[in-house]
This record gives sequence, C-alpha cells and structure tokens, in this order.
Amino acid sequence: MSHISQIRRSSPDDETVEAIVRGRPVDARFDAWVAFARLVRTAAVDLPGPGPSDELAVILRGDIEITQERDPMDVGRIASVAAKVATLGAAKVVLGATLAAAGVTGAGAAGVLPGPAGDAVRSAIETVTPVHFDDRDGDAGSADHQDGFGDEVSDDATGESDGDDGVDGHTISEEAPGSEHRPDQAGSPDDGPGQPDSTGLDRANETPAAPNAPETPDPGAEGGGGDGSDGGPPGSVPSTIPSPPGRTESHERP
Amino acid sequence: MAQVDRFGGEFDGVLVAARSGEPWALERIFTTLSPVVAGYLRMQGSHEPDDLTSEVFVAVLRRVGSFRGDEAGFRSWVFTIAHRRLIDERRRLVRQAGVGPMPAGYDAPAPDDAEADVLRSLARERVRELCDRLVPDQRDVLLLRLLGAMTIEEVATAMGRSVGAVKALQRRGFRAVGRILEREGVPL
Repeated sequence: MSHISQIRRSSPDDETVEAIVRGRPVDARFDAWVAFARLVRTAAVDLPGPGPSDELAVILRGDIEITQERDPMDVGRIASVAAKVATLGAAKVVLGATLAAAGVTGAGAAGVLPGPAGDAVRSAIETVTPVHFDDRDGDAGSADHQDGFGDEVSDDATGESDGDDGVDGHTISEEAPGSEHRPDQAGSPDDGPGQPDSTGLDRANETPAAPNAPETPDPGAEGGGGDGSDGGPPGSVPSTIPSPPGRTESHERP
Repeated sequence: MAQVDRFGGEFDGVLVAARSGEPWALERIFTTLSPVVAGYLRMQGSHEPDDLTSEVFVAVLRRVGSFRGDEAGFRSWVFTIAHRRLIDERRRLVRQAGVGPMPAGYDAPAPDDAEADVLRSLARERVRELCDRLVPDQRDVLLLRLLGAMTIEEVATAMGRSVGAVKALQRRGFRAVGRILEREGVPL
C-alpha cells in the first residue's frame, strides 16, 4: 500500500493528534504526521540562535535592574488612582489667566479641595502670582501635621457663627492656607461666580491675584465673567498674569 | 508533548539566579531558548526574526523577576510573548503599504556549503512552505504546540481564543497537512 493512500485513510483524531504533538508513540498509519512534527522541531533549531541586540546585550550584562514580583492587585490599584488624579489634574491644574474663575481657585486657595488637587492648585497659583502658601506635609492624618491639628472646629461648622450647623462656606477657618491673603469678608454663596451683573473682574479683585488685575475689563469681553449656567468657560476675560519686565501690552487669554 | 529538558535539569537554579539578575543565568536563558524562538518566528514568516527574537528576550528578562513556575511554564510564557510580538509585527507591516512577502532565500545558507547543510536548508524551506500553506490560525496553533510545547489551554490564552476553537484549529491544521502530503507525495 502506498504511503499516499495511507495518509488519505488515516486522518488522526484528537487523541492521536495530542499524542503526536506530545511526542508519544502512535500507530504507524500516522507516521507522516509524526515525521512532520519531528521535522518542524528539527528545522526550528537547526540554525543557531541570533546574536543579541544592543539593548538585550545591556540586559545580559546585568546592567539593568530586573523587575521584581509585584502583586497583580497593585497594578489595578495604581491604575485606578492614576485615573482619578488624571481627571482632577486636567480640570483643575491649568490656571494661567483663568484665575478669575474663582470657584476652583478660591476653593484651592482656601484649602478645601482634596489634598492632591489642592496642592496642584496652590502650586499653580504660586507659579503665576507672588502668593505663597505654607507647606502642608503629607495628607490628612499624617504624623507631619502640627500638634493640635484638628482640635479646633470652626464656628461655621458648629453653627456658632450663623446658627446653621455644618460647614456652608460662610466662614473659613484661619488655619486654612491662604488666610493671610484672604479678604476681610469671606465670600458667601450669594457672591458665587456667575451672579447677575458681576463680572470676572469683580471676582478677580477678590482673589489673591487682585493686585495684578487690570483696572478695566477688556472692551471685547461679553457679559463679564459669565454666569456659568452653561457649564462652559467665561467669555473673554482679561489676563491677570503679570507682564514680564519690559513688556507693557496687555496679554490675551491663552 | 515532548518534554524537552533544555536546561539539563538545572532550570530551577537558573531561574533563581536570573531573578537575582545574575548575568550568567540571563545568558543561559537566552542561549538555551533563543534558537527555538527564532525558529518559530522564521517559520511564521517574520520579516525580522533575529530582531524580534531580541525583543522577545528583552521582555522576558526584564520581567523574569516576576515569573513563578517550572520550565514548561516558563517556555510557555516565552512563546506567548514571542507570539504576541509576532502579531505586533504583522500589524505593523499591514499598516505599512507595500510590504510584501518574505523575499526568497531569506534563510541564510550555512557558512560551509556541504551537502548536509544544503539538505538541512532544503528541509527548513520545505517545512516553511508547508506551514505557509496553512490557514494562519492553524499554523499558529501547530507551531505553538510543536515548538512552544504549550498545552491547548496555554495556546488558547496566547491567541485569545477558546479551548474549543484551538482544538478545532489543531485538528484542521493536521488534516490540512495530510492533504498537502497526499497531493504532493511524501516530501518529508
């Protein structure tokens, strides 16, 4: 019988295929497949292995630190935290000439944003203005806090100041960063952004950047600071970024 | 599958040393497995099997510290990385317009053009031709099983397919090999 006819009549079943793949003995009818498997294995290693690339050579010399075992759960946790920080950062950190949007920056200056976001806001404010915030070491609950931190509760929270229990923003603790730059009368909810007839310049004048705000708004500005009802950015708002020495022209909002 | 002990029974010790960054262990892993990985990539029609082999082992050796298992598991892990690098290369080539099939004679001749070398070269070429004529997924399964010594389940994971699908591909791949051999005589 020709080998060809053997092949035609002897297609291996799953069990035989498995045996051939694993190198176990099978019936002689399947010799062609056995030979195929053997040839594949032989041909694959018939040539010597290639030399290493430059990058691989560095690793083979032991010049690169080998990644140690990491708990797979850590990867998920790290990714989750990174995602949260990214969303905070994208929305809050880019300040530049938008200091007039006092809702966020005021909150950041007042220290009521969560730690990482608040730090980012304060850092950005320090970058564009001469304002300096006292360093906060670590997050809440860290051993680096000053003694007695948290012992004092604001009058606003206790209701002593306004008769309403709970913090409603009417009173800001003197312990919150930026207190030395805060206006005598803290903003109230009624003075929030977007109130009728208020402009961004009005709000700018209430922020630490006030010394750098222009005297008059940009003639092209529409509606001043905007009422924020559409959730979008305010209209054309004059820049409050101080001009570098030697430049006198007004800055357009980036 | 043929439980090939490529580390001479010393895999556990080599692995411990490699995870500590010992150069001799890293070199041992590379020299032991790079020929078969390169062979797999060549048979899969990789355009740059040598470069791709290095990429595979850069990935393997950077992460060897996190590997836990025996030699079979390690080999499976290496081939999974190799297969995915191969897929990446294929996708890159597809995106690049005008990339054609491998040029003929990519398989460099042995330095000594003795008869044995010629015969081996012909055999390699023949095997590659056979593999080329398989459906790509069938070829992937057969080569991962034969060269990577991977189980059905490991191949399924590497390819992102179900176990049932891999079994079917394996079965059809073997039958296709049989049909080729039947049509063309027994070339092996």
